[in-house]
Amino acid sequence: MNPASKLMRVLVVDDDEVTAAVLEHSLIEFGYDVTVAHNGREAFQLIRSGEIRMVVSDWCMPEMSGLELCRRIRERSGGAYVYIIMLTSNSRTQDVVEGLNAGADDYITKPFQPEELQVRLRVGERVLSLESRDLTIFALAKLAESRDPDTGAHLERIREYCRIMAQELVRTGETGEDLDGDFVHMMYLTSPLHDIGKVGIPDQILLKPGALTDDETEIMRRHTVIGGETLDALVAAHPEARFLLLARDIAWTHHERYDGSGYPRGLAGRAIPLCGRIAALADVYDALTSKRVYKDAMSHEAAREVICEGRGSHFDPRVVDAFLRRDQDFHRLQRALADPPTPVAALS
Amino acid sequence: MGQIMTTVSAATSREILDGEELLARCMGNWDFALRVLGKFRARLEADVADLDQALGVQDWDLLARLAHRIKGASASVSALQLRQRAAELEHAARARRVAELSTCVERLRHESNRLVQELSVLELDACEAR
Repeated sequence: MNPASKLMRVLVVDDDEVTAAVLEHSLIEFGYDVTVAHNGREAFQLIRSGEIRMVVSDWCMPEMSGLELCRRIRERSGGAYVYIIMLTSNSRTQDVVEGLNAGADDYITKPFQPEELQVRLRVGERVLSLESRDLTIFALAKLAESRDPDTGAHLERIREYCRIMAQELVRTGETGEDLDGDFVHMMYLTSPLHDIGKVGIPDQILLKPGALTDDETEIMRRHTVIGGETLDALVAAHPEARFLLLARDIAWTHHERYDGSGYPRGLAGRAIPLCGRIAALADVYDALTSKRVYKDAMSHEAAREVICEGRGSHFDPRVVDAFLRRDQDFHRLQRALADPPTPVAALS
Repeated sequence: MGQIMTTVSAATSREILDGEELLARCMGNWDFALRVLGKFRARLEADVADLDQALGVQDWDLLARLAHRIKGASASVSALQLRQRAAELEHAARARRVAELSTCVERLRHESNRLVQELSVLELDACEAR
């Protein structure tokens, strides 16, 4: 194990404290970071944090059985894939079939043998690593961004700003939507794709140093539609990859305005998906506080003023309130991820 | 501590407690195995007492749940006979074979007593080894 690498977190779910203790001990010896829950309900709450990728669960438990836990995990919309191993003394073929049908990935009968458990956990790790989605998404976004070198660490900042606002909205619950840690994770993951449609904008417009003409502005605005339609085609081809829905909505709606005066469709209020309303504020804040060849960077305080002025017109008031409650985190990140000054040689 | 392992293998029938298997499950850590056995014993004594209560009030679902829990825990510590007795009781309770339940509970209690006796010897040996 590379000491610098993060331990994979495994959730052990068993109402029997003896089995839970033996399991926990083995998993720690195998090099995992272990959390223990004593029933399905407690386990499901932990999984909703978005930090659990592997679960070893008993079947028969009070409050919520392992079978019900499997179903609940698989019913969630979006979220990272959770690998589930059922560990139970129910060993009949029909039990195995029922467990796998409920969404378990693997099935081990009690008492477990450490060597067997270890290799099965490794199988789980391999399956999870196949889902290299996070890296792929960011690589795609970086590829799109590479055509416009003026944007520096824009994507890194955008996803951090989106994560902060999503966290705040989940914490307060004021959007009235059923959001959890998965939504926060998905916002972080997919927000860098917001400008992916810029791959379809001609260089002479995308890289034009001066102001755009009306026609050029119209073409530039098409990046929202190009990105939205591209990701929509992916959604149609891979409906099981639900994170693509969020990515599509962000690409399509991050230039919409809360009062309906934005583009490309002039959506207003809650007709704009929440992810788009969050990305809109993050994108504007970053544009204001970043230096470009045609403008200086605005201070955090001045950008904050602009955002406040747009409350209820450009931006969703709840999203602005979330921003204001966490604006010091924005300021800190903005400084930490600020682009380095352009070298003099590059300006000549 | 390895000495105790030999004691378990020699003096204790594998059917009562398979010390080698338990030690393997505890990744060779006998101190941890002893701690687990202590936890198991406390839980077992409480669960066996609850079995009597469930039998008295004819709560067959509770009886089955308790038997299931004893079955799982005894499997984890490799108490093979007790696991078998618990499985029989769970099966009978779920199938509502009411006439068999008292006998099943009695057989489980007998096995539990044998195991607890062995565990007492084991704990004593462990203290002396320290």
